[in-house]
Amino acid sequence: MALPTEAVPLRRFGALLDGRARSIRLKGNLAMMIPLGILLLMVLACFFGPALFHLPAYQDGNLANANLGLGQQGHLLGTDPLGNDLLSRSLVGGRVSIEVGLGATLAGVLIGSNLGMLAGYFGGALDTALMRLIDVQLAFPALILALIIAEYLGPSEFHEGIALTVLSVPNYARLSRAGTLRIREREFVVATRIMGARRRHITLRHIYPNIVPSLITIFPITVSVVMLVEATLSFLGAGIRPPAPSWGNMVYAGTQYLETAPINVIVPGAFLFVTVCCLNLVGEQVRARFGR
Amino acid sequence: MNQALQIIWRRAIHLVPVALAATFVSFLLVNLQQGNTALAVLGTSATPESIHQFDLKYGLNHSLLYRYFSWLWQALHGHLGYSYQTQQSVASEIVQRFPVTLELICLGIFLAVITAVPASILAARRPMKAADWMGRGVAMVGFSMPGFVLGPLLLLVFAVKLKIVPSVGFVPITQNLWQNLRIMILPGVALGFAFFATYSRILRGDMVDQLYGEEYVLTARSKGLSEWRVLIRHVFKNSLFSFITVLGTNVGVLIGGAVVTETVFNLAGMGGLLNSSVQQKDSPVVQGLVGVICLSVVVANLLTDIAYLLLDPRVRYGSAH
Amino acid sequence: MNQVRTPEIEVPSHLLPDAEASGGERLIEVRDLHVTFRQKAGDVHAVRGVSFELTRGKTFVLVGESGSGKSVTARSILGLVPSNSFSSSGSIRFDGEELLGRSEKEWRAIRGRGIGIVFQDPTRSLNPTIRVGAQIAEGVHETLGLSRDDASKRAIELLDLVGIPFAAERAHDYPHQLSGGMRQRVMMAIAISGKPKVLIADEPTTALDVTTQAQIMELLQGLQREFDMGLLLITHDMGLAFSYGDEIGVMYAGRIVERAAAQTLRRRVRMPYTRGLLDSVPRITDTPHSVFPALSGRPPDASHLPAGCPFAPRCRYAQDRCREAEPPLAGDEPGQEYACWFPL
Repeated sequence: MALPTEAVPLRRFGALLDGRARSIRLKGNLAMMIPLGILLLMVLACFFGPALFHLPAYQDGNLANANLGLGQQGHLLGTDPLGNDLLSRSLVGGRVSIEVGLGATLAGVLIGSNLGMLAGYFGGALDTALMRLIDVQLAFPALILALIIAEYLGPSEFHEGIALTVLSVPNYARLSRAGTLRIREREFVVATRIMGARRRHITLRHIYPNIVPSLITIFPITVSVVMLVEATLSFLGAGIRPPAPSWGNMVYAGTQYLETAPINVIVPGAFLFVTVCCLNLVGEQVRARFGR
Repeated sequence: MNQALQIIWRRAIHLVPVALAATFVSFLLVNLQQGNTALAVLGTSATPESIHQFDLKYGLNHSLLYRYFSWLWQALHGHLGYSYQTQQSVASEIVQRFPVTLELICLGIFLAVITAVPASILAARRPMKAADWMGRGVAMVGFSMPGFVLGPLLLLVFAVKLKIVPSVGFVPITQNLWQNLRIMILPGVALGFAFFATYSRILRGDMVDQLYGEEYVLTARSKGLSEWRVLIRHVFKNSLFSFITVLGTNVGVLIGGAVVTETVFNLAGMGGLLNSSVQQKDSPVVQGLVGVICLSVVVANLLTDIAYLLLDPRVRYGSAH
Repeated sequence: MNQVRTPEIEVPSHLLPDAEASGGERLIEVRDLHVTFRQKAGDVHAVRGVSFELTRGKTFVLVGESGSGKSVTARSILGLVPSNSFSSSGSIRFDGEELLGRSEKEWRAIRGRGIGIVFQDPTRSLNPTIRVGAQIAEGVHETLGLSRDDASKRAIELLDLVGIPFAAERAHDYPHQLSGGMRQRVMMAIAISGKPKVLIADEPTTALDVTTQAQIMELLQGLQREFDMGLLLITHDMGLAFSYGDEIGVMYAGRIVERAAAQTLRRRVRMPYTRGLLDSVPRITDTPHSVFPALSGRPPDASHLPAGCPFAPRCRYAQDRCREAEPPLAGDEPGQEYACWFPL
């Protein structure tokens, strides 16, 4: 009994991933390594920087020190309107953006990809229902939906996360559904004939490895979008509220002093811009290498 | 042509329930808030009597479903209820603010298009050369720069430091076009910048794909046409299709961006109203705005489909004789 | 396979090239043409030393399987190689003038004017969003300098010439509204609109059904006769080559491996590859269910050519010498050349 040459049953998850990962590393891709390095530095700086470098406190500052310029009185990047050190405040504020950005996207990946897989595999009413739900969600501009959810649940980091997870789900659901449909056509037929009753188990093991690459392809870009939306929510007051710092609400506070002390806008804005930009750069490279 | 009309009709039928469902979802969301609405609006000093009045006035003593359908019924007749905060008619507030948002969005699209089109044509003409890299660099900045950072920065440079445009003082377009534009130009740029990035990337990608992948480009060259003529008359013309699709499907993102831009620049548009009403939990206003916005998104998508069908000769003129 | 006789076509004189401008007999001379594509995975030697001549009023056919380099050769004559990173060497002369090494501006002088080209798939070769009349008129407007009105009228005349009924109405159609054969006629109208002396037809009938194929070839021949053009026909179909060719060049792995006048080749084939190609054409006289002697294997990868004769792996008669050194194109009789150590 000869196996048909096309379908290769039991592809190992690791093997598939290794092949592609190798092709990235081999090229020695500077365009990806540099932004990735900056991102890692940013993460480390935000979580360990203030403690490691014994930076001045990021809250409960002295009003007498309000709006100091760059490098004054030991504040590397100046102070905010309440006298807090801008550098340490920005670093701590970055924690939120990173946590929510990564967390919400990962949650979106998990929920969305499983929903999409189930919909693609079982088809029928489940599939139609999921597609309609996604259509309804897409009738809402993303920011507005997130704004309403976050505000009406009550502004907090956790509720922001929920809102942003909801935002992330459709992309991943659609992608994994499409991938599942493709695999279903191919493997299903073969597996049915050969493996008989075990086909569901086998097909599920085939689906994951084939979906994951396409999900990875859009991952960095979706994280950057989620980060931008989170910052926007905080700016609008629907996310993290002062005195807890976040890049978004720091910019908002800064707009009051735009003429006299623009560093309040520029510093957190720059942190956000650099992070998002690096994510986008990495995302472009990942898409070019991983994408078919 | 008949075929095209059928497709449009089917799409419309598909989209209407989606818009309705969206309003229902927002109704649910808006009622997510715990606690008594009347209490939240009137404050902790409210008497039971005034709370009862409030509930009666806004029909809050009925079930959720009942309230939704009565809202829907009223909305279809043009009555969108009354604001909790200002007691004004929601519909009239929206109508007042609509022109500002419309102008902002149109300005944003216009600025994005007139910069993206030449930039992408130049980039496609000489891929991987100076114009291309510059365009892609600017686009990367456009993707990564948040609107609420760009806005204040533009204000800082052009209104505060250079004093070219005023930072406050909105003048309606009907009153004084020049003053109106002076005030609206910065918000327009702030909104349009991200879309310049999107449009130029799509256009450039599509044109380069055609230049290297399509046979009719070869035919055009074999006729002795100059490279510019090939690019503009054949390639760019065909890129308009995907471009129009992108324009239409991005209307939602534009509206979202308008919320931020109007807040930053203090413009009295629908976006600013949405932001303030969500913060104040002024649900009738929120619900009314969401209804209008979702409807606009849906209509924009439908118009995009129609435009696509009208412009593609393959659909307009049917198949071979 | 007999020579096909084509019916007469009436061509108005203003559509033909000027009598005084008719140059010499040898329209195209290709000498030792090499075209190499530079790719990260390794250089692709698409064309490796091709030489041939195209004479006025005659048809030269380049035959070969896909990947043999025949299309690249044809397109090089117009500088239409669709790649940024390629290098070419050798010589291509048109009417005595060197073509290789021209700038874009210089290429445009002959494209559509001295040399016209018809591509394989008319569905993809015509812009789907521009009316066919406009696509023809565009060429005439640019290259002959006709006004827009005159160009439109000329387009209708050309459509009529290539045998499209109701040309004035058809000119306003879009490509998808026409059948495959009609689209190819439109392509030919475009190709001859500039009054060319040379017509290149790159697999003009491959995308068409059999009956349409014959009609298109008839039209092609008729136009060649009336315009007194040199016709370079690219095909993989040996039957077509013998029916319409005056001289045939068989290409394999980027080189011409046998070249002779059609009649000479009909009498005697020297190169085993050509023999294999001929044998694989089914004949109406074959008995039913007779064994079909198809060539086994596939053409070599142009980026990794084996040492020696590239056909050796598939050749029934291959010997050690064949695998060591590549045989040159030479002949012991005049009028027939072949690249084989042990010709048939």
